[in-house]
Amino acid sequence: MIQLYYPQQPYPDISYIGIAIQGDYDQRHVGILFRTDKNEEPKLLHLAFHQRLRCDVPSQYAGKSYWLHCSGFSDDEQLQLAVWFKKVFAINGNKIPYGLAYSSMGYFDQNGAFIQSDRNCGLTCATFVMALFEDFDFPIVDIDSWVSRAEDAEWQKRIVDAMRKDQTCRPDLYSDTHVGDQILNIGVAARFRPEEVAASANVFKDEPVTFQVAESLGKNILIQMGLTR
Amino acid sequence: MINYQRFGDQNQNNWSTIDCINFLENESASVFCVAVNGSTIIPLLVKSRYQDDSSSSTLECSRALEQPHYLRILNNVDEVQTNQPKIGSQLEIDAQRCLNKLYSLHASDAEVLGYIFELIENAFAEHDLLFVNALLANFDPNRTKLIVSTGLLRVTSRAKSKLSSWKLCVARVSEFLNRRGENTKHLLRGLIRADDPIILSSTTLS
Repeated sequence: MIQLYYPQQPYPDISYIGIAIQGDYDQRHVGILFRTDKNEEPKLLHLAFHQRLRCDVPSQYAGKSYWLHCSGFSDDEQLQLAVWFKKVFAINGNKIPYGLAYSSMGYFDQNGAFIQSDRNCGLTCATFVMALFEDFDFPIVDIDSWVSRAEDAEWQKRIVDAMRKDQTCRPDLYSDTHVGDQILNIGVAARFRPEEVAASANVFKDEPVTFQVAESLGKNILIQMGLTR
Repeated sequence: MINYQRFGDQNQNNWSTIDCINFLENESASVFCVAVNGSTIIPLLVKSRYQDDSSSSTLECSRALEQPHYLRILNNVDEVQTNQPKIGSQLEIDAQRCLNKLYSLHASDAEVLGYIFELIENAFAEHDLLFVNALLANFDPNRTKLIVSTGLLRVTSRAKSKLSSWKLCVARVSEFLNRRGENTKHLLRGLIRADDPIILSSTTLS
């Protein structure tokens, strides 16, 4: 059983890091809460969309985000991660591309800068969280155990449609090939759902969390959020 | 005639040679000397450049400790009655200087981590892997907190294939953790495999 906390004002009472999740039945969104001083307000680091990495203050998120602890990490580890998260945002600003496929190839170089290894490269809100942990040698998810589900393709199509629309408004953010490359991932790339990644970050201790465990715990999170049909 | 005066707190009287050279040299001190007592290097403060009174040298030395310090190669050994300590390569010296600053930082854990992270980041940004390697080669987990030891390993692990000293540093930290009876497999999870011979070994590393 996962302990999910309701939106808390003025801000979640995390240690140094936590996980925030919000959304509805059709779409959830996950990000990382962090602070490098327990006297500071935690910020929310999340990949809102293509080239929109954001670092929000509590007034922007606290009223609507459920949240979880990352209890499997010691205070020392949480502080190390918080300093790392802070660095990633400082280095990259908002420049992280959105992409549907994920692999354990490493997404951040030694300085924390995003590595555009190929034109297909990108992250979702959930895989961004995964990559942050994995690139600090805490692989919270066992990606080899992941299974594609029939409904994943529908979601991927919606995302690609959203990217197409976004490209017409913000062509400066897109390369000529990015959206086309994401189309090739529809029905092919496994989807790591926000609630599953949130659960994985919550329960991770020593070994990556498998698909079976993450899917089950993710459903539990949705129940607690009131998002079941 | 040069007056010698021993100074420094009780905990610091086993400083290494590089500690001594780094820590005392600034414009207030005229000459830095070391005395060798067996294998122990004892830092001494020679009279201040501005004062003849040796009692004021202590004050100057105390002020020096608060000021930024820099390295100066010892070149006037004729003035001192001591054994000349061996000075390593400049790279090693620079790395050790940075490590000494790390060990002596009186700051929050976040600030100390920020210091080491920034140090590494700047070196990577300048493609100075030799310097990062020297940091790892000279890092002593006995002299700092655990959070710094594991933080250093994690922040450099992405470049470990290019850092010949990374694995040795992991082994050194692992051996330190084993000696303290810590759960090494857990603390270094993700950095090494659970069955890695590094953490199964109890051999003391140099």
